[in-house]
Amino acid sequence: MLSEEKISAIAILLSIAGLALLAFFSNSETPVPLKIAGLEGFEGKASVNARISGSYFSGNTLFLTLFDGNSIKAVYFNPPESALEASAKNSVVVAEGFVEESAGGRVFKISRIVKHA
Amino acid sequence: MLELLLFALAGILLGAFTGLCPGIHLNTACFFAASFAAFGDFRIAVLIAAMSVSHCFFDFIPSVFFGAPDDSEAMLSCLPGHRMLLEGKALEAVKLSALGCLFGVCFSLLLSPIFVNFAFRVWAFMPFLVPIALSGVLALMLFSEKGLRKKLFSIVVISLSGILGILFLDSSGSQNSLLALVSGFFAASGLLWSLRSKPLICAQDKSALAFESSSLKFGFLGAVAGSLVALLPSISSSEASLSVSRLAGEISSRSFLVMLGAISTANTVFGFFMLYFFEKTRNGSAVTLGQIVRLSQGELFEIIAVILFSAGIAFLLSGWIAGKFSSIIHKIDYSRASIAVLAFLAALVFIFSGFLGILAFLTASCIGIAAIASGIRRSSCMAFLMLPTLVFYLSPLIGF
Repeated sequence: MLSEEKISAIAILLSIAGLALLAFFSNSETPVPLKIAGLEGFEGKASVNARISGSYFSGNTLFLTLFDGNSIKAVYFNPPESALEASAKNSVVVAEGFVEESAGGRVFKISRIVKHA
Repeated sequence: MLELLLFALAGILLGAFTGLCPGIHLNTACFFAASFAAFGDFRIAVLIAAMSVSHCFFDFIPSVFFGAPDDSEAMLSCLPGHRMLLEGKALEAVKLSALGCLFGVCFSLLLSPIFVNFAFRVWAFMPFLVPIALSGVLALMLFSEKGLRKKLFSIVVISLSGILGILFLDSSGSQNSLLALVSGFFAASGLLWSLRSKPLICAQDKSALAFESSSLKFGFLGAVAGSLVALLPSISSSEASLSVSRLAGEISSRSFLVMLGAISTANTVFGFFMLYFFEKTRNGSAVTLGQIVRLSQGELFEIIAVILFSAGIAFLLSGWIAGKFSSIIHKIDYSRASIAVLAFLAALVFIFSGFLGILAFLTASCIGIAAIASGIRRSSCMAFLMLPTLVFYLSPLIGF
């Protein structure tokens, strides 16, 4: 039987490999372009082309309301400077992220936001 | 009145179900129950309150008998609880946890005026207090390991867990992403490790619970720690119990279990108080309750009555079910049961979190095994939540 030290070393190496794979797969996941109405029940990474009808920055969190005929609340934790510049009220943006059910209903958790070209 | 009582009883049974099934998280059941409710439906609010309290009592049963917790309250009970199972004292372990839960309910209700007053005073300072508290707990975790070798391993495990948390929690939209990580770190790793040396489960002792006077003290400390958990975002029950056990010095397995139980229910109870007084709470079940009703003062008192009622019933019922479990546990093939629990957890993770969830689950299991094999505390894996939160709070300060 393998010694505990060897198991420990193998487990750490496997963890590092797992982290590398996770980083690779999570970055290579292509967001599915959707309308806000289509986000209901959607599980994966989505991208939404919408107008910002409300924008509020507090602490290190950007709170947005996205509108494309329907609206959804969105949050962006620790947004970079470029995201803040892109997120002025009435800007049209492409926001990528995930839908989460949380306090106050459905929220779009943004991982990247850029001004619509 | 009778209708509310029936909803409370249904909640207790649902809480027993979510507590007994490894991998079924309370929040999932709460969101599911809320989906049937119209706004203002107080009956569903009663059901959720009863389910949340009852869940705390039953949650310790799978973690003691199978080492398979499904949330942060139960995960730390694995080690002392599992140790007691191997000594034939599993029933006592569950009863001690349930006793702690009962203490947690009583003390948290008694402490609630102090808690609310304290919460109003410190509310504005939270963004500064959270990173300080988290850094303190991380330092405590690291420096409580004995010897340089263990400290180094602890740094490795904390770093790997933290990176996994940052990577996976950031790249996953599923509210069940925590299931993959918690199950990997604290259930799968322990179950896999137990397969390595076929554990011999002896016949379980069914003698009466030996009550230690220190239980009352640790029940009280657990309730205080539970209040901090309810107040400080990102500090979970496990970090609170670790900190109390480090600060309180030597603590027996029995007292530790009582304290864990108390933290678990106190956190739930204070969660409802936070909802009423601040309209903000981190507790998943209280969040769901807040989506259904805006509690009036009278309704808050009714919820308190439901909490007390549920705690009493769940205390008796969990002891009875644990008694049934302890009668059969030595007769079943433990390795096969462990494999079945592992397969069940992996299936749940896949259903709720997909391929990335399975990858995170496997990686977390490896990190958990590394912690066990190197002899350091598996609670170091809690860095998967603490480091991302620390980064969140510190990044504006360091301009990242």
